[in-house]
Amino acid sequence: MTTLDRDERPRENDLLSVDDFIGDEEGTDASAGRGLPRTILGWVTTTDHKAIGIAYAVTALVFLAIGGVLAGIIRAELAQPGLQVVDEATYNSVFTIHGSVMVYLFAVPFGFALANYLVPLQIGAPDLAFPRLNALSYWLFLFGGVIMLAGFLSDGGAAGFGWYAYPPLSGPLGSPELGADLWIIAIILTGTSGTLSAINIIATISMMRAPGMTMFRMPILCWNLFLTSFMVLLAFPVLTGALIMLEADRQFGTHFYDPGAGGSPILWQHLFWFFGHPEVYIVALPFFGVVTEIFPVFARKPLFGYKGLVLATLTIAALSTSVWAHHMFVTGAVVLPFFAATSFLIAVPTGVKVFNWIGTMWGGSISWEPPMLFAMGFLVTFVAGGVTGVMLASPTLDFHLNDTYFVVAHFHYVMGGTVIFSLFAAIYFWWPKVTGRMLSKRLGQYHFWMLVVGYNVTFFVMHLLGRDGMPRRVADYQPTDDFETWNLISSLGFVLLALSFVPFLYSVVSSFRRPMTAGADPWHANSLEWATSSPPPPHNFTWLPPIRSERPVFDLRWVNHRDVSAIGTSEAWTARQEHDKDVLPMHPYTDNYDDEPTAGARPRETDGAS
Amino acid sequence: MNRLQLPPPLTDQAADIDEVWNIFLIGAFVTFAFVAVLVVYVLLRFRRRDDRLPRQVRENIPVEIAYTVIPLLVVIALFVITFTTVRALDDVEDADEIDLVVGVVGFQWQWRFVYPEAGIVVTGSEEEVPELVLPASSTIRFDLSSVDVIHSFWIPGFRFKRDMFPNEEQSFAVDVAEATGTYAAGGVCSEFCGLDHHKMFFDLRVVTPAEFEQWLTENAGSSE
Amino acid sequence: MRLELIVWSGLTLFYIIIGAIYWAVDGDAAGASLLLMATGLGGLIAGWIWHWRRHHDHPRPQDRVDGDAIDDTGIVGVYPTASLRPLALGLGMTAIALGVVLGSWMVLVGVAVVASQVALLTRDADQ
Repeated sequence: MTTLDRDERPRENDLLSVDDFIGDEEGTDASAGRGLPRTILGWVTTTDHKAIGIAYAVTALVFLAIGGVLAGIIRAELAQPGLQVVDEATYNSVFTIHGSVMVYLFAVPFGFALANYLVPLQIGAPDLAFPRLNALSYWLFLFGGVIMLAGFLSDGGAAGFGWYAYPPLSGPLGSPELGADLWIIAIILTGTSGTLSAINIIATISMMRAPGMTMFRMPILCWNLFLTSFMVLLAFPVLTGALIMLEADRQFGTHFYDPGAGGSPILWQHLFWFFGHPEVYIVALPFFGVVTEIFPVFARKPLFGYKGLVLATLTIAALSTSVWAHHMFVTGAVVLPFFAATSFLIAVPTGVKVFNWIGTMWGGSISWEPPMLFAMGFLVTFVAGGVTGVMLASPTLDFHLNDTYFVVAHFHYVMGGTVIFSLFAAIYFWWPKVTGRMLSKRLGQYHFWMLVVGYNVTFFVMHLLGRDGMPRRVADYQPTDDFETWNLISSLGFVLLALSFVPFLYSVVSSFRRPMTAGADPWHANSLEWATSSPPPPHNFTWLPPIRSERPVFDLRWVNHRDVSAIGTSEAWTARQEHDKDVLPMHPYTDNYDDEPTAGARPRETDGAS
Repeated sequence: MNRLQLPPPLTDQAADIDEVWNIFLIGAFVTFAFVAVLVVYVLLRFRRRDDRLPRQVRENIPVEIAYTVIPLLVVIALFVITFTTVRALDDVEDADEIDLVVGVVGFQWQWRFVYPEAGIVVTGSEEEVPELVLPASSTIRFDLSSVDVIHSFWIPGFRFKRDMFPNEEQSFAVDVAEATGTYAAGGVCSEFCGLDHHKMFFDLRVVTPAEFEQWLTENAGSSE
Repeated sequence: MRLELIVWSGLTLFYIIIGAIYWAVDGDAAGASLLLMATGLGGLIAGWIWHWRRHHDHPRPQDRVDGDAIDDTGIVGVYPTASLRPLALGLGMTAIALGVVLGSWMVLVGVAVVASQVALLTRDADQ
């Protein structure tokens, strides 16, 4: 690409628009939610990745709300010393299920929602590789979630041993109640669900990309989901196996984790964390992919260091399965230097990603739409969490900080910051694609600022509490502990955090009162999902642009500017003139191909700008 | 406004750990501030002013190498700093000069402290929180175990905790420093162990060696 | 599929190395076994891709830098439309799992449901 002086740089006044090439199928009404099922039976038997993706997203968000209510109970209880809100047994179930719901039933499934909806669209495929397997994954997730929560209705209440379920506390003597068994069964089901989805995603990305969509032209979101799926394949079966062993201890008299009979509680910890650490990257990587899609669009520049990002993500995926025992530094039973080394090392590729994101924005032309606001919120929150992670990677410091509110602060900054902020970045960004309508920019701003302030007030003070001596998972603390002020501040912050959802919900509801007028490419974005209508038709594409870079839709808009669109785009465009009528559109959208410009105007030579 | 209640470092190792904490804390702040300033700068300097397309820069290999190598060097340095202290912690355990051995037994949901040489056992209960009495200026080894689930022995003043497993004993040793003092709830269980986990704490009292001898004599052979 | 082969082979190699290091520093048996099995997972996928490449000597349209839609016309694949099988299979699998806790009658019901759904799926595939 040639270098142009600022004055010579092209303006967007003669660009092509995707809407010119796709049009509406004759006789169909775009506002009818084209392509999605319309009856309950339709939804229950669908195998369409878009419908399943929406089902995953809606279900995951319901679980987010439930997890949020449980968080509210925790903050209400801890605002003051003394047990005012719930008794100890209930509190222990509340924080156990809060963590379990957020990790197993919200964060990971929402990642699969993104994968479901976006992977086929971004690689130019009509669906995932195994549509019925995909639907099965959704049902196993839903049933698992219901079973976990059903524990609250059972005698003895829901599982109350913390989301990592350490035996002997989680064993037959430590937690004899039915709710504990239900929790174990639930996660076996959701784990199976995830494993099957991972297989589907890897097969789809490997085998079903559109012509010209080489691996290095694939959106980074797809790369991240591809590598996430590898981590799922590695980690989820380990947890499933460990859970089966735990359930066998509880139901069938085995002694895998029973120290009195030759078993080992440490074995559980190794197995759990071998899953548990990749799990947090499984949660994070799809959301990293989300912001990686958003920064280039709103900075109007290509992604900075695409291959570096791929390599960094690959390194993170590999290393994440080698750090697990940093959760076990205080057991005295692990090889400290090995795990400290790998844990420190994993900070490096993570930092590379942060700098690549900043590099994408550097020299750009940045606009402040809600997706970009939330992506920025993620970036800053995540870095704050990342630096405390480096502190915890050091056994020297971890000996004091492990199992305290410092860790709670750390993971809420990284996981919550990544997931919550990027969740909304994703929702605001892809809302027009999924629903055909835009969300209000003004309400998005209120939402963002309330969330940022509420989030930081709630969780920043937890660093101080942990360093001060407040352990995790305590239903109460003593007035003499001096933890009261920070806890009260945290709880007040939570109120603001919860209220931040109000403008968002209002925005969602009011968007449905508007007609579907977003168009195919409302953000002037880059990847292939913006080359089809909003919402997409069944099997996604009636027409595909040529793919010569990781930004096929950008290249299409700029096809008449050879110095801007990717090399090869205008040649491919020219070749289209000869064969387009034989091949495209993939589903006819007009009777008279001679009338409609299926391949657009012939590309012009640029006028002296070189 | 409440004061922060972390006790001063009560052991030599805790003092070293606090120095490492300060290094990491400064590093964390500097890193975060650097990124935050970069982000704010980028957002202000490169905000959208017109509809011209900016230069479509895709890479800059020297810069990318720099921001890979520099963080790598930083974490290597942090690793070295970390392991200097961890090795020092291990060295205390291997030393021949243990002045006192204290057995610590965790059970749902209180503590038992055993002073084997003096035959003293101190057991806590829900009504009465036990007090762990330790001599200052001494090297003390703690032998930890549990009778039921996993507990964790944490004294924030030590900046150190160690998990306690059933059917298994493990030890660590520290050099308690000169300062004496009484610390309400100076120790707490920090591995979730069930219903009353939040009540599983103990008081800590560090006394001069002379006072400690006196305490041993007064309580010799007793089990509370 | 060259890049996919490189990615999966790279991961396999990583696990061989990190597993060897972990074993050398006296890491625990469970962790060492898991890292060894990770090698197997990467190797399985890398091996399949290597085998696939031996039998396909031309690049697929999606691997060609000059690939365009005309290279991939016609039926792309079989995409089963709406189906009751996933829901029924899901219910059956859930019944088996829950039956472990709630009673063996439920396991038997689950097995029956899963078996019937698998039979129906097989019949669909044969058509």
